[in-house]
Amino acid sequence: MLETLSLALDRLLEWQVIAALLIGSIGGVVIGAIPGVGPAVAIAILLPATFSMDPLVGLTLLLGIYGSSMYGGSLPAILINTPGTAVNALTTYDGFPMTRRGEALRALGLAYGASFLSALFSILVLILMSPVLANVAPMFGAREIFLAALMGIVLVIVAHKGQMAAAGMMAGLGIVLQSVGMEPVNYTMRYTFGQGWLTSGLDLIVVVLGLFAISQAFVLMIEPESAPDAPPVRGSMFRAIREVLGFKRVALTGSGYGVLMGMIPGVGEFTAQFLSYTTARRLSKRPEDFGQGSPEGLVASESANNAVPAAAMIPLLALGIPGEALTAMMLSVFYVHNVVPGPNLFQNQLDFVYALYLALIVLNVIVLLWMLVSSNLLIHLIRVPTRFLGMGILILSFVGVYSLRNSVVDCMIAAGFGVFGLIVKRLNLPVVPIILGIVLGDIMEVKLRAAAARIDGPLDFVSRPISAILVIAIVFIIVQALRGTIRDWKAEHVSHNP
Amino acid sequence: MMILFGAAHLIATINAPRLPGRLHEVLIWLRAMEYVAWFIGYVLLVPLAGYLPATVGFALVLAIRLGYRSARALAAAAAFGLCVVLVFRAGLGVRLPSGAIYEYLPDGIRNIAMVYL
Repeated sequence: MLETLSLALDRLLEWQVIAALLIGSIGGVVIGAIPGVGPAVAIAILLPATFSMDPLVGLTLLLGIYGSSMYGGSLPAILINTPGTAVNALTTYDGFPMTRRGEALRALGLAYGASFLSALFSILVLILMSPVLANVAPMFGAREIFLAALMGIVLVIVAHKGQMAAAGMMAGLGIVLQSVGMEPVNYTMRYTFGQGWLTSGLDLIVVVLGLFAISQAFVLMIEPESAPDAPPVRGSMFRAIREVLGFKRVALTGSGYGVLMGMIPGVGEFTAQFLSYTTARRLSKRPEDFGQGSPEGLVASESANNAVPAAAMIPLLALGIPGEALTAMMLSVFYVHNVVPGPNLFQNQLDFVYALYLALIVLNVIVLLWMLVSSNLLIHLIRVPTRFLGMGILILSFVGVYSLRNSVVDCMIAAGFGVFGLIVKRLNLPVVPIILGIVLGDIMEVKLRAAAARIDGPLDFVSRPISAILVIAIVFIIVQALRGTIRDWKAEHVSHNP
Repeated sequence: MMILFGAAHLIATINAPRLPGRLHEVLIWLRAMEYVAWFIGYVLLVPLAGYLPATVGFALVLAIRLGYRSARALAAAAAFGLCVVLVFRAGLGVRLPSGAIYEYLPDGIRNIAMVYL
């Protein structure tokens, strides 16, 4: 293991990787701090540019943005009650009341400190777990990966509590979208309706840019202008960050939930935060403070979300199954460079995997150092007017879409998805299941086809230990979700008709 | 089958309850079409005018359309356009066509413009 680690360190010390780490981590903080941009938009825009880079350089750049955006996102959440990224929403509950009490610096320090501790914890867990994964991953054959992808789809639907039908339809739409175009085995045209421009199908990046970036640009340009103002923060950030050591138990519990939930495809930050927050409240000596500016609540929220990025790399690297939109986008970087994530990666390129983990550690250190000095600098970014931001995102989206294959049609498709994304966002429907439907749908189709030769009947899906466990897990998740829905419906029904 | 269910759904909408504010919401969606038109115009302009002039021009026009009139805001928009071109085309070497208009530039600048701008 030590030999592999030193090999990984060698790869990490290349100047391009270091540059990507610096740009990714600092850029991620900046992007996270601007409400309305977010890592998904940034990663979607940068994705095509990373295709020409070495896989490790491209991935560290994107990982940098993914792992550091939540640090930046906590800044507007705490100072102006507007989460910089979606996963900082829970941070506003306790962060903003602390600011109103005049404890802005303390809140920021706790948020950064909790994020840092949990990120380190999750990365260390993953490094220690890698040898185990290297042994377990090869047990996943085509049918197991098909079932794991299916479980990802089921979980992402179930995770949208109260919107399961909508999430299911969105995931279904994603699966249909990925099947458009010429199917590569029998050359059958699917859903092309004789249109030549649909033959090559819909590119994932075009759809992602439309749904995340262009739609966000439209939202920002259409809605009324706002340029929030935040007061500058004064005092020693170092001392404020150190205070998190007084909340080690809460931070560790949050990190634990983050790691567990991050590993399961389709679940992610929100569930981890919810569990971490409710556990912290239950165990707290002052549960009544939660939501009123409780430092424990803030630490619980920020530690859970920042443990997820590293954990989300597990299903991506070990099985090639992304758990949410950002890792789904990163998967395309692997494919472009012919680095196929999956069981072989852990067996043959463990140094690459370790290099990614080490990169995650370094980026967290860079971000923490950057946060020590930059909070007041970042406040200026919060003040950028929203319509101006919309214009910026639209200009940047063009680079992402057009640079793929210099196609005007791609730009039109992306603009079409932009309008669709705007409608979906304004109706408060979930967007992420579409992306997971596209990516996981493709994986499911390929793997099911590969497994089909050895499958004679439905019982063959449960004839191997891991596939049997996955089938049982899927059935269990669906039954639990249905029971919960029926219970909620009954409770509502009874309360309406006593 | 799809047509049948689609038609059934359409008929069902005749009786559906009218939600207040829905028309207003649809109008908001339609307002996005204006920006789609601006965007497609920009896309068509890039191969003709070149990435740098098209981007700076698009940023300025869109900033004016969005209600910015101050010299500071317009200068920021132009500077943003310039930075995007320098970062992506000159810096990252992203594949974008060079503008047809660059053909008419003087010899020395033409090559630089075609590769970097």
